[in-house]
Amino acid sequence: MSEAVQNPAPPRKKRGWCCAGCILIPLVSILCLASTYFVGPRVASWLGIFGKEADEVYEAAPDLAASQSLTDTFDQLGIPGVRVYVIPIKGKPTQGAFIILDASAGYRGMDPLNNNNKIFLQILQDITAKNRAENLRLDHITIDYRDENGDTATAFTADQDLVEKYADLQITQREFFAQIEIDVMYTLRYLGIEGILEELE
Amino acid sequence: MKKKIQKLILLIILLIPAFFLSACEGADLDLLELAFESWAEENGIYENGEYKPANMVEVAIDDFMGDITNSEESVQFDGIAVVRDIEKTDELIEDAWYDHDEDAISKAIGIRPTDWRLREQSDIFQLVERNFAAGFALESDKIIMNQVKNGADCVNLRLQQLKYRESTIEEHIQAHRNLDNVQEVQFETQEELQGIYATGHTPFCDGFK
Repeated sequence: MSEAVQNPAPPRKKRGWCCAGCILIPLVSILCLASTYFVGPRVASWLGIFGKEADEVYEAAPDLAASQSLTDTFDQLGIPGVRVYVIPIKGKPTQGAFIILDASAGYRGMDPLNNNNKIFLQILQDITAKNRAENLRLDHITIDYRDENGDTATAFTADQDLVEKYADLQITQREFFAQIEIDVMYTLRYLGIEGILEELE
Repeated sequence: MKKKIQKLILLIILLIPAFFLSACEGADLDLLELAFESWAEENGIYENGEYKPANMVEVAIDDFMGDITNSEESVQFDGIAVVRDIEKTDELIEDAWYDHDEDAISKAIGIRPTDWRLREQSDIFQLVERNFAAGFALESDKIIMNQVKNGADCVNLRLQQLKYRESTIEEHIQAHRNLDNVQEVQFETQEELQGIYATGHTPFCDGFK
């Protein structure tokens, strides 16, 4: 008798749908989660449930006159490396001011000579005065600090109402800073783990 | 485990002022430190001289949710990326003129299709480089009309458009002084500008009254 007869090979197991399920279920779950994270907000935004994406909110061309006027504020104070973009906000009669403090373009601080500790207040007062006199219709001021490579290191944003309260001396500098928004998570991401280790050393 | 995470978060919080040190190359340090300290107090991360890392988790979750739901603050921060797009398109426009490369303008328009300045650049490029004026400014006019319909000030926007057109043509016309179409567009632009300066009005905006 042949060996094959003495030790019959075990019947080959049929690969069932159960195994495909094992792969498909996690795969579908991951796809669902990913689409919820990436596509969901866009759909919700489109349906008006969530706010609009920034691309859409600031889709219009910058207001050239307003941008130049606010950039002049920094030029006149002798602060290099600053550009301001005032961009209309879609669906609102207001505009957002983006102040780029760019170390890669020569920015060395609002007070590089360290002889005017009220310069920050002075800048906000000047912006407020221009907003009123030139009817710039500012809604918010967002500050983007860029490093020597032009990467965003940290960012702040404040409603224009808050800026005007501080500019009109209705609140203190500390109260002003307490109410601004800081992009903390972005700042953390910017430095990354390597940066944290470097700081530790 | 929870303790470990809290310790890590505490470490990160304590390092934030140092982030500013390295990130901002010495610029505005006192201001940034004060800003962070005041902000941390307001958000319950720093209380009575002590850091409370657990509250940072709450801030991080709020931040994350804001990102997903497009909260006002989150959109304002994302606006910084839009500014980078504007800078990128401005660079492409410069390249287009320098290299006589029309594709670079098309690329810029692809990034920001509703930015009327880019449409103006495209038409002025055609005009100055090829003396081609058919359909001049149709696209940028359309975009501006849409903005006016959505509430923008018509005369103010038209004035910006004409001044932009005038200075862009002037900047690039040097080698092409004799092109008749360019001169015609220049003349019309200057005439409309003079009208706005004199009367504060332009026929372009008549349809929006």
